[in-house]
Amino acid sequence: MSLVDGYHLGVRPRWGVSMVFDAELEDSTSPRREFLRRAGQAVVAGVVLGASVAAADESTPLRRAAKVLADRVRGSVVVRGTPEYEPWRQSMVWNYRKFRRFPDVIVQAIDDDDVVAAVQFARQQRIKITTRSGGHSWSGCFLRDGGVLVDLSRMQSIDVDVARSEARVQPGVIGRALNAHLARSGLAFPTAHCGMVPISGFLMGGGLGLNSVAWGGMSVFNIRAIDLVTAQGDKLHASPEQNADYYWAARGGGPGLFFTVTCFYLHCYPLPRAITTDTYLLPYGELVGLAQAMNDLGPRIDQSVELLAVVIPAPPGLAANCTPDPCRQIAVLSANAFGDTEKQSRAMLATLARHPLLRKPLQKIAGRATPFEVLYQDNEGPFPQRRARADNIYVDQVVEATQVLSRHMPISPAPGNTPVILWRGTDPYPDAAYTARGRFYFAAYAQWDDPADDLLNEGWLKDLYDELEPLATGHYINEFDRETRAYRTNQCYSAANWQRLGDLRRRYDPDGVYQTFLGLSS
Amino acid sequence: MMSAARIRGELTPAMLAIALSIVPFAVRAAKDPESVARAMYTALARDDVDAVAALLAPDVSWIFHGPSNEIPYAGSFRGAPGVRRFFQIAHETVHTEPLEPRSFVTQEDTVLVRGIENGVAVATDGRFTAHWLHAITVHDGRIIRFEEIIDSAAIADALAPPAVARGQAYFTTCAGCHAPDGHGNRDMNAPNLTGLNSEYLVRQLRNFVSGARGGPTNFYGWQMNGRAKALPGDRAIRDVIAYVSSLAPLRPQTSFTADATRGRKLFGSCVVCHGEQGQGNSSQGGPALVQLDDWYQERQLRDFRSGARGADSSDAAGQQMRAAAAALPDEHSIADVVAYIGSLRN
Repeated sequence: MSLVDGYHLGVRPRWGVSMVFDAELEDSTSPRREFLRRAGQAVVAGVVLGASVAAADESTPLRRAAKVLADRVRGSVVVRGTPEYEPWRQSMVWNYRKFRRFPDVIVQAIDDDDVVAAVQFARQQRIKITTRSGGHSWSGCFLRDGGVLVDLSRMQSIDVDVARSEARVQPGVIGRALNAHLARSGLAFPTAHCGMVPISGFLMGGGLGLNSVAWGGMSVFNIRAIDLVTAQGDKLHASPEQNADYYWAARGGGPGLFFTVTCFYLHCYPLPRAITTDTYLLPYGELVGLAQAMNDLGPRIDQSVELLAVVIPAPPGLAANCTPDPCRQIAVLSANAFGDTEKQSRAMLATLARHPLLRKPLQKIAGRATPFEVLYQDNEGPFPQRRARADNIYVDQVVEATQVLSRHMPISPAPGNTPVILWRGTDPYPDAAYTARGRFYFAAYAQWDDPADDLLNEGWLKDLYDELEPLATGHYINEFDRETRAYRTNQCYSAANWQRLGDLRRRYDPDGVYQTFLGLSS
Repeated sequence: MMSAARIRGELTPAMLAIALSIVPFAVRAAKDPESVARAMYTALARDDVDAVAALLAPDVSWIFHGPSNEIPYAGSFRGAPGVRRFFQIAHETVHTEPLEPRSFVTQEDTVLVRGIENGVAVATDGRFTAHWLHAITVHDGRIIRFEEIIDSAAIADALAPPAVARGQAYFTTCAGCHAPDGHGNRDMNAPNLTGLNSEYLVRQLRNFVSGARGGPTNFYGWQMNGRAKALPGDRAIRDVIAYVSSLAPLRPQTSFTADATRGRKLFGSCVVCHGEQGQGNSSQGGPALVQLDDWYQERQLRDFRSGARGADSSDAAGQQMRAAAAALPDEHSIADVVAYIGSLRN
């Protein structure tokens, strides 16, 4: 059975009956009180530095094996049912929504030998394996019921080879640290827009990074080579010349990969010395017009200008200026020019200022110096750690998509919810697993605090993207809502690449040691 | 009796008539279940156990639902001596703010009261906020049964000693920026956490949770607001700091080369809280400055000076530092003081 068939047959939607059943089982086995009681009794058990199994309990075969594993690894091993398990499990997830999926064993690796040991353990136990580094997945795709979760967050080394413009980066490295490190060598890398996102999950799902149109199209195309651990527990190096199938798959196979990357060899760019931003604040009523303007401007602007629009609650001073009525929300266009001098950057931005729509904004903030740290803060400030979800489409017909969006934004259930409309350029992509694209990336992010609002926000996002779906030319898997739409995961890839990913998985991981995509069974 | 007769003798007939019409009502009011319940909360607010005892029936049942192996004052107590014992054990175990009864519902002889209790565990300094429901049954103006249903898990959490093993789990969230060894990462704007006083670190995490530190005008504090709130409650704060305290301490490198001689003079006003050698003074709440990275000290002094830190009235130590930083004569003073503190590491 091909994977394409498999997704039809194997879908198990998370909101279906099975999830409710799982949830009930979970409630009956570990209510909070029981957890607290056991935690209180076992406070002293278990620790600690270096190898540890968080229990002396060897009452099951899995626990006995986990004890053996704990003695083998430098990192930590935590088994479900022990007092420390739930703190570990919850700490794996950045989102305040701690997805109710429960791996059997969590292994926090210190080095690639620990990863090898975890893979061999999973093989011996005939259970599946997933990996995480920073836990930033919107859908918590790494967190699965059963199996082993390998945490790579402690692997944080960075080595820079300036002569080759190359950084060798372990999976736990965070974007902000990478660019701060590279800047000392006059280099830069297209990390995620939020500086707190670790590099690995971001990259392997494609990596929609800073200045992406100029810097490779997708960040993942800047991977020159990788070190990896196979489903058999072997350490390999992969590049276009060596173990090329692995190399091909790593460049976009993301959360459905059948191996663990332990080091990325990244092509870096000269550090732009004068990143400069023009920001235009427009009445909400101009949102569709803004999309039209971006569609006109995209092909005409320099590739080193990043063009993105968001919707934010209207600042009090501006709300009154909206016509015809005061507005609750405003549309914001940011143009980031990644130039080497201020003059160069300003010249790149001049094209925008001449566009009719942008001649009379509510407000224009021109020529702001926005080095990486400022861009990170601009993007992270509105997204503090909270309950959150995201979804997206790639789209060519951005005006039509924005018309749909403009009907949904005013009924957004939480004030922090925002879309991002990002010009993507039209350059061809190299041959790699990653294929999804469109003239625009069209995402929406929901964020809120009260668990009682979970369903409201889920519903808002789902309604919006159900309506946008006919316009989609693809989906970016890293921000694709696999909790509600796992059955469309194949549309994150071309049909041929989806097929090839499945073929490679069956060839290189015939026993299915690695988990496949969240919500799919094969 | 004598004094009552004397008072009655002095009453005019009119006053007597009024008094006689009031007295039965007053007696009835005092015996009304809700009034008795309210009288009990008034007495509790004054910590007046005698006044509480005066409201109790001789064979009163006093029940606090919860696991007595974790909460020493959980269980059933009988009679005024039993209730006194309950309060004695409770007081030895936790210190609470005055109870806040939020609503009273009376059903025949029983009053249901809903409220919230904030407290601190004496042994662990663990903090808790617990929602409660009291069922108070009154017969003939006396409480014959008091039953407390409370979020006892919140209290048990506060009473639990911090656990390094759980803290290690939570530290996963911290290690991305502060590094797996807790020694910090300048590239992530994350300072060294090791070799610092636990109370100081716990207080900072509590400030980040409450918003007394951080906020939208203090970006890296704002990031810490999100991370600190991700910790599931006050116990997790104590757990993660217990883990941090178990890490090998780093002595940060000295990187500032400003006017340390001038810094030494300015440092005179820091000594009381931070110690002569910058080693900290836990009784004053002052952290060991020699353990804080130079760049971090400089940033914090700037934030204190601008009011980005230390402006919240619930952060007394921060307010003190804000005043101290404001008293520095000029911007150069910050680098000078930091340079002097750096020289103390040698």
